[in-house]
Amino acid sequence: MSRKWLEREAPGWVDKEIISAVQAERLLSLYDEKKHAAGILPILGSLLVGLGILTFVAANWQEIHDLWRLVILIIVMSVFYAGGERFYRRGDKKLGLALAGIGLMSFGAAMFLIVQMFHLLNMQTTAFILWGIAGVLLTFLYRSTFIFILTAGILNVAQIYSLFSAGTFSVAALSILIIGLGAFWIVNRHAWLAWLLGVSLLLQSIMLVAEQNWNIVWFLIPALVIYAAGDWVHERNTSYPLQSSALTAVYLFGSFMVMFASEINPIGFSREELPQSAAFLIITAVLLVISLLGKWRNRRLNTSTEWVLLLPWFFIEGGAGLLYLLALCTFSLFVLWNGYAEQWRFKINLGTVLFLFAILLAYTRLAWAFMDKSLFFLVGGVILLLLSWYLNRRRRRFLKENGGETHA
Amino acid sequence: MRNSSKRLKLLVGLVLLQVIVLLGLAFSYIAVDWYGKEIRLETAPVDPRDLFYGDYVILNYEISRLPDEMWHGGAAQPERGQRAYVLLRPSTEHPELYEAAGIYDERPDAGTEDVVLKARVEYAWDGNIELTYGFERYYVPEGTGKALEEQRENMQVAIKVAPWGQAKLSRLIIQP
Repeated sequence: MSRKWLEREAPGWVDKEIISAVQAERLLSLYDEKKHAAGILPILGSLLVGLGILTFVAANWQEIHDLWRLVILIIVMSVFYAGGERFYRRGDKKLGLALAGIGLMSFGAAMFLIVQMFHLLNMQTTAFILWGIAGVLLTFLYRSTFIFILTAGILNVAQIYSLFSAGTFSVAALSILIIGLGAFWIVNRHAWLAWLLGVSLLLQSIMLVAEQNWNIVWFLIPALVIYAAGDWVHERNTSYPLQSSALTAVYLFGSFMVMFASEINPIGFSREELPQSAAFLIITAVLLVISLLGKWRNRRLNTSTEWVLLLPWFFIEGGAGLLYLLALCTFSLFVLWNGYAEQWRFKINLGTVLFLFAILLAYTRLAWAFMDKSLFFLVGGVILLLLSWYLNRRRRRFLKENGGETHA
Repeated sequence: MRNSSKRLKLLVGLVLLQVIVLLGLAFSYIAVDWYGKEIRLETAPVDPRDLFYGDYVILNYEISRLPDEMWHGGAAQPERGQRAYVLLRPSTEHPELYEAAGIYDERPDAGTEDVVLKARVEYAWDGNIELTYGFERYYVPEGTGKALEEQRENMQVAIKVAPWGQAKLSRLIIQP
């Protein structure tokens, strides 16, 4: 898209003698879309072939003897690994990693075939764990974010499988996620990896909370821990994705609170719940103080507005649904506002989508007699209109003051 | 270049490890076939009623739910998710069929005719202990599950138990 835009705009710049024709050519060459498109294809292809191998195992191939099936799978797996290494070495890294990814997929497929052949019900979780370990080692071997993502997926599915099929929380899956992928992330600080790691950790915490029959709100504590830890990280491009993962999880939690406020029973202040609630509030307060100190130290106090999402609104009985809805709306507006302030289109779009989503959530709440649905939409729409008017006015004033010499 | 040849060595090692895992998984269970002792277990009706699920059959055994008088553990009642050992003895009427004789929290001493199976306590409730053994599923070729399901009333299951405690489901036996 950026190249198309550049192709359209560049001749105009040349006409106005802002840049020369040669410079326009050189700018265009920086945005070579062909290279980009070719990068996506092998990854999509590898995913399809991987799925094909998995369904191949699930489909019937009863006629072949067990041992031969095993031999076939070992050969398939080795060929993919070898092919991956060959292409990687020749410089076609994307295709090489895609093939190595298929190799990893076929390792999992081979293990599940063996589980089927020998009716090994109690080996399935172990198979997932071994698969995850192979994924971690491969991630380190190629230092690849693609294989990191695959491995995180495997370990999360392993946890889900262990919980739903065996009814137990797999400490092994969580440990490999934290130690294996965590170590990789520490060495290779990639923004999206931090986000994925945070989301995976929180997903597994939710499963632990479910397995232990704790109250669902306890998962907010690990979310707050991740958020507060992010405040102490100095580099913005590490702390931001880490905190985003916590905010993503809490935003989803808030949405559930809006939709199912009456069905979810968060902890309250009844006699038997009081010690639990007191502990929860104390831990939350401590973590918020730690977060605040981190923000103060790294001069980021303005991000405290994000707390609107993190505060335990569920303690306010009766009004929790509405409060969470307001928290979601306010938070979305902050994202939108900061997006404009930082001139970051992704954040502007994200904030808008989040805000519209929160407004749509209001539609699911028919129970609020005191606030009509249509009124809520009306208020939401007016807020957005006012915001866009204000932001435009501010931008115009800014342009005037700076004599138009700005990239806005 | 030296870096990439080091990677190749590590990759070969990693792939070999994966092959060993696969072969190990397979051969440990083939070995159960070779050295294991075959016992037969009576199946019990399952709930949910439809025991055919996609490409496998759900099996429930007489020994899957046992009265809690059979519990010989440290605690008064076993905990959910706890490991347990079930001592099996040949039935007096049908010596080829095995029945539970006791549930233990540590491996009990077994007589020459006896067999010990490792199990997991699913729950202990209402005077019963629900156990799983890891052979509650039998994978079948697609489309053959329904026929098996109709004969479940007179179905027995043959289990092979290795001297080192590993157990595997070896076949379904349909009584005429």
